[in-house]
Amino acid sequence: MDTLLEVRGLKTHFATDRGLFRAVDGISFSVPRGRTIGLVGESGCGKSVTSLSVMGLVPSPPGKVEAEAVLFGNRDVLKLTADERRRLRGGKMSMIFQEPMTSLNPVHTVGQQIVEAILAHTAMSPRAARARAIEMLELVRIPSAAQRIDDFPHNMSGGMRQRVMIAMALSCEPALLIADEPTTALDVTIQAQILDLLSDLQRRLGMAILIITHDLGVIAEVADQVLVMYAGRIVESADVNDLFADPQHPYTIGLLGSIPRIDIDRKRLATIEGTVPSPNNQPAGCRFAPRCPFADRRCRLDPPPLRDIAPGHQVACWKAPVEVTS
Amino acid sequence: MSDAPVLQVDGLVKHFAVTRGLIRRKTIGLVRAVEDVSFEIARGETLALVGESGCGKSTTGRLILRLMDPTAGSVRFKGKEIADLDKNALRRMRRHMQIIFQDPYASLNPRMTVGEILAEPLRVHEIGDDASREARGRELLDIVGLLPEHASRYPHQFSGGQRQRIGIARALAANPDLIVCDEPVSALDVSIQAQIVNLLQNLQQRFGLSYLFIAHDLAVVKHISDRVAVMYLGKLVEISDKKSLYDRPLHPYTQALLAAIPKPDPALRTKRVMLQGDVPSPFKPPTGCRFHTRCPHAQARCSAEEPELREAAPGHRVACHFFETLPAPTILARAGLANGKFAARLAAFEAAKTARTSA
Repeated sequence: MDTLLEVRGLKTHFATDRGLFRAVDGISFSVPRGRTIGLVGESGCGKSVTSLSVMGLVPSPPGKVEAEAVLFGNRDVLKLTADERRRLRGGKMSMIFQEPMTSLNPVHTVGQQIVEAILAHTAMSPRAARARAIEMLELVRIPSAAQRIDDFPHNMSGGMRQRVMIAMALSCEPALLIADEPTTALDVTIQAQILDLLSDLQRRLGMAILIITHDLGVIAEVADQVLVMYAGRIVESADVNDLFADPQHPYTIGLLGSIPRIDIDRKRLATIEGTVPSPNNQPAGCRFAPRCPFADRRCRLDPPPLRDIAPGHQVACWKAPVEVTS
Repeated sequence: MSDAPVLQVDGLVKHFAVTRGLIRRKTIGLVRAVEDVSFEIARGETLALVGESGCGKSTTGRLILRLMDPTAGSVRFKGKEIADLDKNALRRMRRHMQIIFQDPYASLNPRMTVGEILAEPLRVHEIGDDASREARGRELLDIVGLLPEHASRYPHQFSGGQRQRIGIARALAANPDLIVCDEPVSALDVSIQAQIVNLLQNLQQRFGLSYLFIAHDLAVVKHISDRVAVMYLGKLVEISDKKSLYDRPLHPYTQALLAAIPKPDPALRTKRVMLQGDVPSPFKPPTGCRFHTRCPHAQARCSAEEPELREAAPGHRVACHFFETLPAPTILARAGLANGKFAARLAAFEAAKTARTSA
């Protein structure tokens, strides 16, 4: 498949008073053109830092981004100048965030902000850019877009603001859209609207989406391929159907078991005991070992590599598949 | 009388005045946050109050604890009208009704140790002496799954899930009958959320607690509640026992809420009927049925006439003119994942966990 983004051996560390904070610790993945890749994990697993590293938005110092390569198209984005990076960002590579209120400037109308993005990346005239902005607002299904374009962000609901963010992100026809928890702050009926909108826009515009979320329900709705992160590493990578039907890593299994569901009747939720290890004090072996019911001596000493367990399905676990050993 | 409900709420109304002007304040309108809400909670029962942002569910919780005064209506706790209580009587009553908040960090005083936080409700209600309060604090930590030495630590030294455990321990301190849980797991990661949901269920069985569980997430609610009340723009639109509500949701809003939940199963990925638009402002709620502006089944009568809550089945009431004739929703497709490899692995996971803890 035609690869759009290829990340090899990404490490993002932060220097803090309490030592080196290894937020992302050697991960590799790729995003094919026009597909949706889901990056899922709990707070502090490094999923957002991964996206910020790819976008070139990690503040340095204290952050330090290292990788064998981060190839976008044929270019290694880590080798670009600051200026080239800026042109890429918001142009061919675009991002939306969780909190649409804090990502919009409250003192400018939404129209001014979208026009600004268009003018920064294209040679359009201001008049053409405004027409394009209205077209984008219509595309994200904002009713009476020609009037709403002159609204300020505070005149809009949370769902509308997220639509504006999407309009802005897509205004320069990106090849890759990174969506970091795009629906987490929204009510469930509005979340359904936004997810549907993103899938529809992908079909029409053909961009690839890297969606970052803690919600496996959202992943099941939109992703083609899933990466599960735990404590700065990828622990499982699979096609979305395989991940849910045939989960391999004990963390993935526990996580799937702990989701409250309306479609299955269960008395008790499964739980994963304990909490995520602190990033500046990681276990030596498998990082999930302290919470894993299957862990033995080897797991505690030796970090398991990500290995193939089935075609297109990789897992970083010495014990997988677990039903054979238990 | 053990059969009498712990809590009876009748015709509860809360309006907030919207004012304009800095010096000469003028009321220009009312936000109708809660309109004519009635329900009751039996001993040992969990009633979930569900709805989206701004539907009035948290305001209802605060009115019940009388953290704010209602505009109209009655709240009776163990048969006593709380609106009639004076300050001292109210404080004595509050010993028996407690609250857990969404944000466990914002609700714990950062300058107090966990031991002090747990002793405070006992001090306020003049229960025991210093030594017995300290002992009770250690006992409470054990009850919620923390360690006795945690008593000397400060809230910032704990993770989100542990802080929520501290909040729960504090609510339990004075042996309450009713706990209002206001979105207690919404801010937590899924694996931690499951721990807290299970803990709340254990505590309920152990101490015979009643919960008013306020939440926006119908999936969590399905696990913890006995009955469910759905609110939209300040009004109850449906109230029912859990099984009936999830098997046969009758109000179009409840149906839409259930359909909108992302199902953690890619095999169920389908094109759904979605609610269009946003929740209207409670400042100017729509006439008639408040849901008619977003309802896929709305007819002329819906915008003219407000529907009453009517009984659809024993214990199942719904406020919709047309619920008898609406098409049955096709939202509750059963997952294929209940069997197969995932189920086998989850069973192995649970078995390994049990083996670890008993070893």
